[in-house]
Amino acid sequence: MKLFRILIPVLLVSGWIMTSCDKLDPPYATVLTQYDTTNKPYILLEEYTGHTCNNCPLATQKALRLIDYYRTKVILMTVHATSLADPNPKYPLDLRTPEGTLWAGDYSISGVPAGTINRTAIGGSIAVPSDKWGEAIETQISKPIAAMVQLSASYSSSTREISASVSGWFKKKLTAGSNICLFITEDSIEGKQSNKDTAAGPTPEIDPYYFNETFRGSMNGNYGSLFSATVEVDKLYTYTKTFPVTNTDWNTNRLYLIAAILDPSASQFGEIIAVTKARIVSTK
Amino acid sequence: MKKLVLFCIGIAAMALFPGRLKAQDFLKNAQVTGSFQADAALYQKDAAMGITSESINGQPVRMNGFTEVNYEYKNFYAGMRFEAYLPPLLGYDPSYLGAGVPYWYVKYKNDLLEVTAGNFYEQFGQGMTFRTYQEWTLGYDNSMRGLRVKFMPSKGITLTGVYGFQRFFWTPFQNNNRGIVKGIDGDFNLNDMFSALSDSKLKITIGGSFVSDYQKDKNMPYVIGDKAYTLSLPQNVACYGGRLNLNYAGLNFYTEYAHKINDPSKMNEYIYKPGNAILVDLTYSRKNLGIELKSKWIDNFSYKSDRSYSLNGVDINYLPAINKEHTYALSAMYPYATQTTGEAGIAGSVVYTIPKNSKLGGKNGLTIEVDFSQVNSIKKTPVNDTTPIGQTGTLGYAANFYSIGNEVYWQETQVDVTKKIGKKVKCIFEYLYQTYNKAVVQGHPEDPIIYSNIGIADVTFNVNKKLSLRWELQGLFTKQDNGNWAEGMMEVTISPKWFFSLSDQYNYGNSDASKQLNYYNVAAGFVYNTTRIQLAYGRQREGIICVGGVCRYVPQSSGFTLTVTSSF
Amino acid sequence: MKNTTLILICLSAFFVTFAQTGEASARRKTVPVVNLKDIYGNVVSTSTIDNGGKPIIIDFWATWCKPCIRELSAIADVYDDWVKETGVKLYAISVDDPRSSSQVKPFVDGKGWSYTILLDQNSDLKRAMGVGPIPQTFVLNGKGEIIWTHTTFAEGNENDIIEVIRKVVKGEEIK
Repeated sequence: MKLFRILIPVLLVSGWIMTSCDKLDPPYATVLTQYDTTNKPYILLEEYTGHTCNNCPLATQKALRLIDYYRTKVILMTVHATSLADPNPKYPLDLRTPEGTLWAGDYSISGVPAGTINRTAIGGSIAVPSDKWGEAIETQISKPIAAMVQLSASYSSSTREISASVSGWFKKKLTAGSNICLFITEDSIEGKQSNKDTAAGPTPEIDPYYFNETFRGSMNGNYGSLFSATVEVDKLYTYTKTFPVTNTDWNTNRLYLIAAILDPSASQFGEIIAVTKARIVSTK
Repeated sequence: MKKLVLFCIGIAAMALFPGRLKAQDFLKNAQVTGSFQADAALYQKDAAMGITSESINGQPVRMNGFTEVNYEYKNFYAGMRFEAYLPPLLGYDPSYLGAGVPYWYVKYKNDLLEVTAGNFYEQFGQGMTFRTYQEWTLGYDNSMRGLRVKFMPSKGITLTGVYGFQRFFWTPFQNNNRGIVKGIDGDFNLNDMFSALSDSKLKITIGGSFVSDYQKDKNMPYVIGDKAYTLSLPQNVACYGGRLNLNYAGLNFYTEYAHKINDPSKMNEYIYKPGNAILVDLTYSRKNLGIELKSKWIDNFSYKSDRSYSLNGVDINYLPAINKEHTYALSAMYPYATQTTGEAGIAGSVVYTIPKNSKLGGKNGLTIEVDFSQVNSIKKTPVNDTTPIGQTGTLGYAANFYSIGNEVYWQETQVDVTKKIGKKVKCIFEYLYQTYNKAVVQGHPEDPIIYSNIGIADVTFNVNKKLSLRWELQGLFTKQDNGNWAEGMMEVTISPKWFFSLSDQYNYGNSDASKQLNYYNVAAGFVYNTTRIQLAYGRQREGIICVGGVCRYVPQSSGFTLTVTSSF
Repeated sequence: MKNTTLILICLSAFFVTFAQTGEASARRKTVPVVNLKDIYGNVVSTSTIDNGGKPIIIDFWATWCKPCIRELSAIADVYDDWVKETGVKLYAISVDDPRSSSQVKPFVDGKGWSYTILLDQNSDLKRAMGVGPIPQTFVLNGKGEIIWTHTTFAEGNENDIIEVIRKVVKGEEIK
């Protein structure tokens, strides 16, 4: 009997430990991505807009046509900023963000519609009017690729947190290091939009109007956070971040995450050198 | 954790209010032991050696120190060790910078059961599946922090369970930043367990162990060439093994085998092949004669609780080198270290003492020791036609059990004669021939294989009961690496308290004349019971020191060193 | 870290209190109970260290430790005389780790030593007895109490050891 009293816990513990054994089956390595410029995005078009801007719907259409034309090479994010994005009794929806307002100032976005392409100056100005977007994208595409970024993101409904995991690697040495920016966007936000172009929809306003690719907030500061203090060629860098979702207006089923690598030495506020986008997958 | 703290407070309370809690007895019959060591250095610039203030990081004064205290009362044990590295001596991992208590434990032990909470050192078998230990001189400590239970249900049976995480310098365990290790081990002495065997001349001991390490990451990104991959990672890596010891009169046979499932790591460049290791050891001895033959075969067997770490630390298992450990300066110049990715080794040794008053042995006898060891690569073949050997993200390679490759990593022949002449003179003569594959062992692919002849004479002369003199003369002769070396040493010991030594290593054969340096050293020491103080001044050549399975690089330095050790 | 600090405080408080009572010295230290292995691989408790009421020498050594071998060789030359005179028994505790522990028995036999050998492969006893660098030698009286200890070896130290043992046999007080 004494032996049994000893044996049973010993067997239980042994059994528990022995199940701790994960034998994997091949393939052990799956290709994540590669330096293949033909089908990977690396250009971020940030469209500044506002719901009382009656030129904006046409510009948004243009942006959508551009990302359709360049397929996966260009990612669009719309930033609601300037006074034309301010809510009023007729247009109560508020899609402004502190980051967007700051950027509009920093990049001298004096009026909307306007856009930035990788936050790179084109002809002396970072802000590019909508009729020059195509040209600016062409200029960017002709440049050699400097970096690639890979992203996965999830939202936990139990902890109400977004977790992001990013890896990036570089084809260009950056002695000043790099920043990683994580932008949360939301699709299909219902609202009203002022409009004057019949090509874009009914005038003088489109109701309901669905705001897509809408910038909701940054997970890690106005200009991201340090990705790596020094950047070596062909070396992989990783970054993880969690972010609590406190704004109950957000529809967590329609959230996306954009990861952008910023070269802080390129200009005053830095230039984007790689970008990717992933759906924020909801989990328990 | 909280309980433990309360427990400590309880003890302290009992000590503070002895009358009420009858702690008098608790104190009076308790026993405290401990040890203390401080190694301090004052480094200086040395133009000839090329040592500048940059190479010592502008911190010429450095110190490593520890104090360990153990308390014992009846079945209760507790202890702790305080360590300080302010800043660590040159050659020690800079991550040690700081001070604190990395080691503490409380233990209860009776004849049936032993329970340890806190840090502990443990070894299963010969350590092929699990061993935690500490080597102060190497700056190595992989102690477990957690729980250990030992269980001795009847004579001849010892069962051990361990659960916890390993020390990694001063880094606290959080967010699963390293593995959680759990393991069980059984050790069975059949002669004690079965009465039918109790009188048998054949003594049989068997044992088995199972260890598992949990790391949180399920996958990781990895760049190969211009492509990035996601590698799937096993969260639980298991390693298990069995062992057998047979003893019959002067003959002893020991074997241990261990197997590890897929464990991609930085050490094996993330290949997924399971690992294998086997040790076979046969000894025969009788009075004045000892013979040992052993063989070891290792295939992809590094096992760490952080797969991304490739330096010294967080090893779960222990794979020491098969060759003899050397302590003379020049025989230890080229130390072999186990190649955990794969090696096949054999070693043999014979120790024979020609008895006193025989024709050859003379009046005092003569001891001869002959050692041989050789380590080769193992034969690795590609898993298929398209995958190169060792390709990350694949099985890596295939190897037949006990296959031996053609590449020699290490070979050594040693003859050692110890002779006492009259009552006053004792001599040790040693000759060694070493083959050292520096490219493989130290990872410098451009370096040639080093072949060296080494001769050593060590003579002690006891002038009288109090005064003794000792001389060493050593020579290392090689055409490769830094060329020839000579060493001379003289030591004066005034028993029991004082000793002085003077030594010089001279690299006279260096092909670069500016590097033909003298590495001189002057030392004086004082011993009083268990306290030893040594002060030395001189130059330290660049080298590698190895203890057991771990080696540490020692950079060249120059200056004063002070070592104080004590125990109580 | 917080926990460690707490424990550190607790333990220090305890040791300080302990030190203040100053009564511990009333009793001499003994050998802590630790499981070692004999040269056949059997588990052996240090509680079995015994010499029927006669003195005991405990010597920590290793096959790679030259001063240790010098010490044990020096004692080996006179060990038979010591045993005849005082009945002393020497336990040579090898701290060889698995790299060299299998060599201990052939080494000891090859040297022709007749000591009782125990293996402390993971330095458990070494730590428990507060032993730092080896060799370190302990002399125990007939009651198993540690009455003398010394670290390092210098030629001639063996004479100090036998002096202590002679005093033990005569029942003289050791400082």
